Amino acid sequence: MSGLRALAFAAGAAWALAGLVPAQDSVPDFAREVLPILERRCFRCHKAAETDTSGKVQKPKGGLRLDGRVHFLRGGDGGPVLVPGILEDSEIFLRVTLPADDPDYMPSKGEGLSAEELQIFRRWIASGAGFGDWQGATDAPAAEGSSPPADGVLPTPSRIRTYEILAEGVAQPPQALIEKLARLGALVHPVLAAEDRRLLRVAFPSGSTAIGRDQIAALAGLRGHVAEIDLARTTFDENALFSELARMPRLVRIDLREATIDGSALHRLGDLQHLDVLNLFGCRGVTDDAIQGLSTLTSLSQLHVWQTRISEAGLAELRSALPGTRVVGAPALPTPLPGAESPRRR
Amino acid sequence: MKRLAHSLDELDRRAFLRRSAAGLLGVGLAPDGLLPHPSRVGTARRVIYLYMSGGMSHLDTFDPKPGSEVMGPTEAIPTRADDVSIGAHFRNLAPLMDRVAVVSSMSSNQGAHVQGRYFMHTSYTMRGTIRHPTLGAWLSQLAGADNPTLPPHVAVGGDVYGASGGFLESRHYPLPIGNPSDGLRNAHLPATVSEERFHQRMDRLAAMNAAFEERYGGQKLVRSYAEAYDQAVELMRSDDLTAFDLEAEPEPIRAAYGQGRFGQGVLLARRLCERGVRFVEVTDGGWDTHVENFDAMDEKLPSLDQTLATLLLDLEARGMLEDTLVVLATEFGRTPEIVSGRNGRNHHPKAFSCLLAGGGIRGGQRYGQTDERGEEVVDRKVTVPDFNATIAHALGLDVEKVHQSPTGRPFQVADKGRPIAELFA
Repeated sequence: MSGLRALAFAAGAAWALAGLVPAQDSVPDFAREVLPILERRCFRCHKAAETDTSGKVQKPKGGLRLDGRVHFLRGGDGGPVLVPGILEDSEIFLRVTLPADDPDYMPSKGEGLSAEELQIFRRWIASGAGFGDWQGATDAPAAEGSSPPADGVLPTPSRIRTYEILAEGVAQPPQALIEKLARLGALVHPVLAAEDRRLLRVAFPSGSTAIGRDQIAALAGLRGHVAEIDLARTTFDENALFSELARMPRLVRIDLREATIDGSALHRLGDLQHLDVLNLFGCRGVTDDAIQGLSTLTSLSQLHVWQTRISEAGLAELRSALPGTRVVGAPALPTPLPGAESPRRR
Repeated sequence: MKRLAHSLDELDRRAFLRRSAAGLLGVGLAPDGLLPHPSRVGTARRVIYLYMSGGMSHLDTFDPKPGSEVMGPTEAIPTRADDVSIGAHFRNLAPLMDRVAVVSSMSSNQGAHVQGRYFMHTSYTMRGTIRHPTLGAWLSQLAGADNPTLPPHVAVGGDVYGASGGFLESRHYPLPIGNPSDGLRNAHLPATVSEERFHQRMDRLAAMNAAFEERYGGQKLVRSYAEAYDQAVELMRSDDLTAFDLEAEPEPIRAAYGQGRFGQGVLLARRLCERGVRFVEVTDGGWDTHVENFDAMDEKLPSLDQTLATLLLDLEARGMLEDTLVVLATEFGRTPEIVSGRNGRNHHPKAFSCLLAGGGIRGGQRYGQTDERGEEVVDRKVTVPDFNATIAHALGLDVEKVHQSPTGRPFQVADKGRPIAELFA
């Protein structure tokens, strides 16, 4: 939105240069100053549907009516066009201040707003877009000609619902701790909402990243806040890191794809009450020796072990030890089409 | 040179816009250590976007009308999902349809290829005055990279048709990969250039550019050019470069994806997504079946079936299907009428089918419906912007938010499209 703000600001600055901004930003009177502008420049297209002389029904353009307070505030097909007090969020202001040759410029027919009219309009929106006593047309906003209502309510993903419960009573972590972890190569994302840092996803992104004592110490500072950790293709001291992870009470997902581990410390994760997904895909060092440790992870709903060195027998053993867990091994990939050449030949 | 000179006139305004935009538009790491983040937390972190270029027949694939004369020789088979039957060629996909949502009420108003592709990719119709960004470019701009050393947006195979960054900066444009089996070309130093010598060259380049950059470094084009160098050098040094190398993949998996360019391209997409690339588009051509439609289906569908089924199973076993959105899209469908004499189907934008799977999508459903001939949408029409808004919503992008082009015009990620709630789990 800062781009819009910048534009509105820049436009304001231009007028200031042109000497158009009055010394005091007086609040325009809607009926006396603003309404005549709307009547002159907007109502021709943005009023109630009517039948013209040729018998054709003329619907309001873009589903937008400006001929009544209720219609004005409701907006058009694309949603509200006016946000009282905020110029840069008011599409109606944006449209009338575009370059005149822009396809989105308004009014699309007839003459554009004069500098004086623009200034009145700007002051009106900036001052809160009061309508005074004016009601204008009060008929119920028509459904026809406008876009259909949004399909149902967008569901909250089940993962987020779990996190909401886990985050209850948790305070926002100090920013300095997040900064520290980020400086050590971690990518830190909130998992609940953009502004909500109570629960975090921590990833160490680049290939073969080593996670050492510094990173583990920084993670310890955020112990209560880590819900997901992505350690794919990293290298670390398994005992040290897993001991720290075991102290993270809200840890739900651990991604260890192709990490350099042998699985000897996996049993440490058994203390994690909410651990739901453990991904060991491609951990070549993990063998049947890890089965005992993995068998203690009863909270898991998913455990990925494809391309580890766990045997078929080991897989069966895991499945019987963890009856509530979906233990995911090798998929049955489709057989190549008959007559298929090797992909290497081309 | 002309373009550069033109934009130099705009120096002050651009510099001003850039400074004020830097914090909020996902440019660089935020000072508080948290990454630039889309405005909501989405259900998917990344997209594998499979584009069937030319207009994929909906009747012969995902919206068959068994018993109708419009089907020609194409038959339908039941699937794992109760209400979803699909073309008989999809024998590997049929048992996986509980993971897939078929959107069979797609409708576009663009009946020509170039315009249709552009609309599908950008949610806006083509116009002379501006180039709109594709979803991949928006994602790159608004959510940033999941892996700082790899480009966030890659396009594999064929022409990059609509896939462009439009008015966004060039670093949001997709990295084009022509032949997936070639990987990323020219990414290694020639044998005759040592690391040290390479350093000297780069230092000399920096020294020669310094004065110019100091003066004009705020310029979008100047900055983009310098950034392209920095990114390339970083990528050359990255361990993640191996993501581009299909030779590193076990042979049985390479074979399961299918031997053609498309299958190998989809495999490359999976490898890149594993390493944190956000949006990979893979294009497959040959769907413009005006002539001998059914021969083309016999040839193309078994391999699409093979590749798509392998992708879904492979992602699932790697634990990646939950947060990887797989999209199958095309610019329009094909006519119910079979053109006599040449056994073809013509363009049909009024009704066609696309697929969504993984990434928080509720599989096992058919959304929307066409009439008994597959000619008109009769239930829950989905416009192209609605479809893209659904993808954007899955990625956590705010579809209501208005963004500004450099010339100050308002745009939304999927125009005025609205996400479809029923498609989410």
